[in-house]
Amino acid sequence: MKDLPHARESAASTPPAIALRDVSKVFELETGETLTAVSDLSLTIEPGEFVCVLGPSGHGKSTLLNLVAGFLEPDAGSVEAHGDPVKGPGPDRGVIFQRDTLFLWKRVRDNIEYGMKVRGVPKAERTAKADELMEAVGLTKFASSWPRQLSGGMRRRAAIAAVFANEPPVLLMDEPFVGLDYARRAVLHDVVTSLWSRENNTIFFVTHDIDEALALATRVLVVANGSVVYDVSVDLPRPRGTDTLNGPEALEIRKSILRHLDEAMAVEEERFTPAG
Amino acid sequence: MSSQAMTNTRSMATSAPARPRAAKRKPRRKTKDRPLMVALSVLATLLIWNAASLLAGVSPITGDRLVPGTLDVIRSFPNLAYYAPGSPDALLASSGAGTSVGAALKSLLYHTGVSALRLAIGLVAGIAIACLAAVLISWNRTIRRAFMLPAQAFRMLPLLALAPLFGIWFGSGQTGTYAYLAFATFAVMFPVAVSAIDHVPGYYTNYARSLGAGSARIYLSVVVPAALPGLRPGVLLSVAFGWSMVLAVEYISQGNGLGFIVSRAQEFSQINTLAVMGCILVIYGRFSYVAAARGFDRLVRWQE
Ligand SMILES: Nc1ncnc2c1ncn2[C@@H]1O[C@H](COP(=O)(O)OP(=O)(O)OP(=O)(O)O)[C@@H](O)[C@H]1O
Ligand SMILES: [Mg+2]
Repeated sequence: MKDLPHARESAASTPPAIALRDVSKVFELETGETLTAVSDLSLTIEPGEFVCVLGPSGHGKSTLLNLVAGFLEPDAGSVEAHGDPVKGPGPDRGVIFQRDTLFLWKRVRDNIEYGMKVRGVPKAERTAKADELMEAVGLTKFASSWPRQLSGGMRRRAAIAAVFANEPPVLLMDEPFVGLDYARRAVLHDVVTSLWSRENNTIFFVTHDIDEALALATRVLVVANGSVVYDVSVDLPRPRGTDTLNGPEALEIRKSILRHLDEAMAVEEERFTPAG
Repeated sequence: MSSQAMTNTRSMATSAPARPRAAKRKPRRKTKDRPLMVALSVLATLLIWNAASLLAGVSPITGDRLVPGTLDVIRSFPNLAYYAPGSPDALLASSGAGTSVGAALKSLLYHTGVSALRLAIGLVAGIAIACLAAVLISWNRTIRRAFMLPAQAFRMLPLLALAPLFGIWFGSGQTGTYAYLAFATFAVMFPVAVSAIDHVPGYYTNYARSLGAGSARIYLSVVVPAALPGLRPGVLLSVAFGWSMVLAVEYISQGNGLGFIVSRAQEFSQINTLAVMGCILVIYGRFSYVAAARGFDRLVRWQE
């Protein structure tokens, strides 16, 4: 892996938001073979970075995210968040799942307030924060709706608000906008980037969409065969309109990402180890 | 008298099929129940019923039809007056003398109230205990799985056949009745509740944990409500089966209630009264099922 050009000067004093050292995760398949989903991976993400992760399907992106979230334990190596070892999921690392995880039996407002309630935030503060976030994601009118009464895009916005309400310093998102149309995605990109620049949190965002990555990220990783095979910072000006995203600089980054994705596919079989 | 009886029974019968109305108000479920279909199926039932009645012939002892026809049922409705508390004797019922539709209705109302109260107490107690027990044992995944097999075996219990046993254990008073009804409801509900909790998707738990919730909190504020919709089949089965169970205990050991009427009518070979009771119970069963389904759907109206 390359040296990290994006490590900021302040990084010396504050611990990295996420630090993985020589992390491996091995799964046993039904066939008896083992599969190294994450292989000896080291990665440091500084506070405030917006990292987008691209890579072929089945090459370890979600596994990586689940290790950071604390849903999985590494078989080797260490995972740290804010300098402390990860011992399971926690409110310091919010997760926005690809599937809907809104509590169907709670109204939108109660969903958004749930995390704060759990952490003992006083009622008045909860209400104010929820109001503010519903305003930010455009759901003020739907505060007392049930999740089933929202469209797919509205649910995504509610889910984002619910996790942001908890003010997690690290936010993990696994293909959060899959299956949404272009316009809805654009709205949600605005929502996420504006919340991100306001809260100044760290975002780890898994996607299959290069355009999405270029529109959002300060740094793009390509994960293939369980390793980071490409790591590039994206210093495009914001807001990133069509002109920026089709400008020469963006095209150059896109080209190199595509090249690494193509190369990744060529070594597909390496990860499997036969039984015994 | 008999024409009066007819109008009265008919008005009861028409108020009974709550199905088409339920379908209209709740288009999400059972939309295929068009009023026309209901009318046709009622008509078909009446035709087959009365054809069977004609074919079955007449009892050589009582002279009544072995399978009473629709008209027999309507005509013998006033006989229920003989079962009013404090009325002389059900033996008279076959004579058809000294009865009125009003008195029959009053009697029916009394016994319905008695049975419905028993049913309600048994259902509420049984469902509450089953849910509480399921919540307690499901706390731990391993314990839950360990209970799964015996819980499923509960389903095999011949519940109706157990009714006399409760009479022996608790005597023939109300305690035995309530204990039996609660137990039978428990036996139906418990496995359903355990498997409902077992089927709560894991992503809810993961999500709640990533928001900072502890396990006790997650269990009570996430797993339990998420399991709620899974109770529906158990609740509806308990209600539907509940009438049979109430009837069984009353048949065996009670001096009042709808089961008592059935037992006396059988004792005196009053085929027509038995048929009246059969029709009434079909109506009650259907009505309470629809009411329970609506009530439950309202409780989980957040559901997709
Ligand atoms: N719980 C598990 N048990 C066994 N194998 C697993 C498990 N989770 C993931 N894997 C395997 O690990 C590999 C990496 O999976 P992962 O979900 O991380 O891929 P991904 O890069 O997120 O793919 P996609 O882009 O399709 O979401 C896959 O080959 C998958 O089959
Ligand atoms: Mg994935």
